[in-house]
Amino acid sequence: MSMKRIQKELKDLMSDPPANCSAGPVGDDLFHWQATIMGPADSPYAGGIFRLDIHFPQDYPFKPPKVQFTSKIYHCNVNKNGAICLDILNSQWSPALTIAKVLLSISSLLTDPNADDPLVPEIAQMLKQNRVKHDSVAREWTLKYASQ
Amino acid sequence: MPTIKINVKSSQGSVKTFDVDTATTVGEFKSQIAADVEIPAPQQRLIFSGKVLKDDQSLESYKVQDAQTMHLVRGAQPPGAGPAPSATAAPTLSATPPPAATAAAPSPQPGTLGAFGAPAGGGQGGAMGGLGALAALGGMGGMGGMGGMGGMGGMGGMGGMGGMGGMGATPDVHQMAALMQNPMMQQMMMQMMQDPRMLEQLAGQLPPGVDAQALAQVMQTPGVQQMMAQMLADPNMMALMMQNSPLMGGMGGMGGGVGGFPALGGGMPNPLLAGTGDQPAQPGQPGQPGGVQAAQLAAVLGMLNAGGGAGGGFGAQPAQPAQPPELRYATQLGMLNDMGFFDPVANLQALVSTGGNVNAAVERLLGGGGP
Repeated sequence: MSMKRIQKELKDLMSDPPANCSAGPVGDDLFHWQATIMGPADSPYAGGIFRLDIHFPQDYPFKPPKVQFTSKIYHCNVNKNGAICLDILNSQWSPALTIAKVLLSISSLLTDPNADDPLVPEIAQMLKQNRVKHDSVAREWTLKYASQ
Repeated sequence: MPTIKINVKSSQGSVKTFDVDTATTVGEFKSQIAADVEIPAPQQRLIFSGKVLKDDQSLESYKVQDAQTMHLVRGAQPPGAGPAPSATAAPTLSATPPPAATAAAPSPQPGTLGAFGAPAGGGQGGAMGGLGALAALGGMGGMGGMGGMGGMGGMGGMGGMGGMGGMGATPDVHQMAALMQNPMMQQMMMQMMQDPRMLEQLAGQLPPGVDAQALAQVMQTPGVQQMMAQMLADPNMMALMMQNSPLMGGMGGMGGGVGGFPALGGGMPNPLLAGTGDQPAQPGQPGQPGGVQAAQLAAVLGMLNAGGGAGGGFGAQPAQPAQPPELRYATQLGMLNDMGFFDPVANLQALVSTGGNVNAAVERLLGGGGP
């Protein structure tokens, strides 16, 4: 069932992907995908193309996919290993969600970081105390690590 | 070399369609696009299937196919040209907005679905308790003619053998939730749904005259108890045994009896089951029935029901006459609601046209389209 569900998601993504996300299998293994999120224009990540790695569990969609950034990103909800702090990837996962929705959520997280539930407290603090500096560092990192 | 149409989506969301030969390299394609978009070829970044396409590769090598869509973005400007254009952060944003995630899709309610993600309970220590819970699954087995679920009646049977009284109980969402916590259960469901042979086998092995005492005896056998404990601990075990052990066949039969009770969808000839067939079938998946053949399902479920009768009743109720769909699919409707599908009309429609198959219904609801 997971296979069928993943194939359907892939088909939908190929024909009508969300505006700023793209995803597909790395090779022949349908359970291992890569994705890109284009930094939202209204965020300091604009212009960046962020890569992510997606692993589907065998019992997908009953368990959430494992999604992490492979591009470095300065963001209070993403740590240096690329792990993402996002409720729908854990406790709030629902089989009704899809990879497209997950990527869109991550994309909105780029626009609106959640400083109240940070994975990197220092960045969250910076965001709260000095938004201008936070954004300038985020832009710098985007240029350095997420532009090709 | 075939010519295909490729949709190119800009970051603003507008889409342009280009005819292109699949042997074209990405670099050549960019030049072709450049005539139509305001981004010069060297600054174009084409993204497809999660990959940033390299100029020297052919479109073919990325398996781009007709009518598929790729993204076009403006790449970073050459060094010295200043930072990428970006709106300076609006100060209003410092008020922390709600996490965007929740906006993207309806959050599941804490009940059932939370359990899907919950870690394994079970284990050997709780073997009997676990089996008791499994008995409730027999009920699930009957849930309106869902193929895999019918097979799961077999699990309910084990509950019965454990002397647990779960079988008559009407399955409710909470019981299901408890069951879903068990990773083995999930595995079972997947297996059953993926492999129609399992169902057939289950049906084929129904012993004609299983009775309660014989099963109780079987249950006493240390070997069987051990097997069951193992099954709880090891998800793969179950699948193996379903295929190999005639003893388990017997158990499956009992499960059929127990599961037979709410087998409303299966026991009666349900014209709606035919609808299962038009569920979008994906090609190229061996062993995966597009929409598990309705007729086959009905037959299997019917047999399970019969097995229940032969098995000495076990409180198995006869298949009930047709009920209004909202009653018949009450359990499934609850499940769908818990999965975050809040439109009762659409839910019911999806269930009716999939013969009560929750998974198929979810796909239908997700797919939006479909006949």
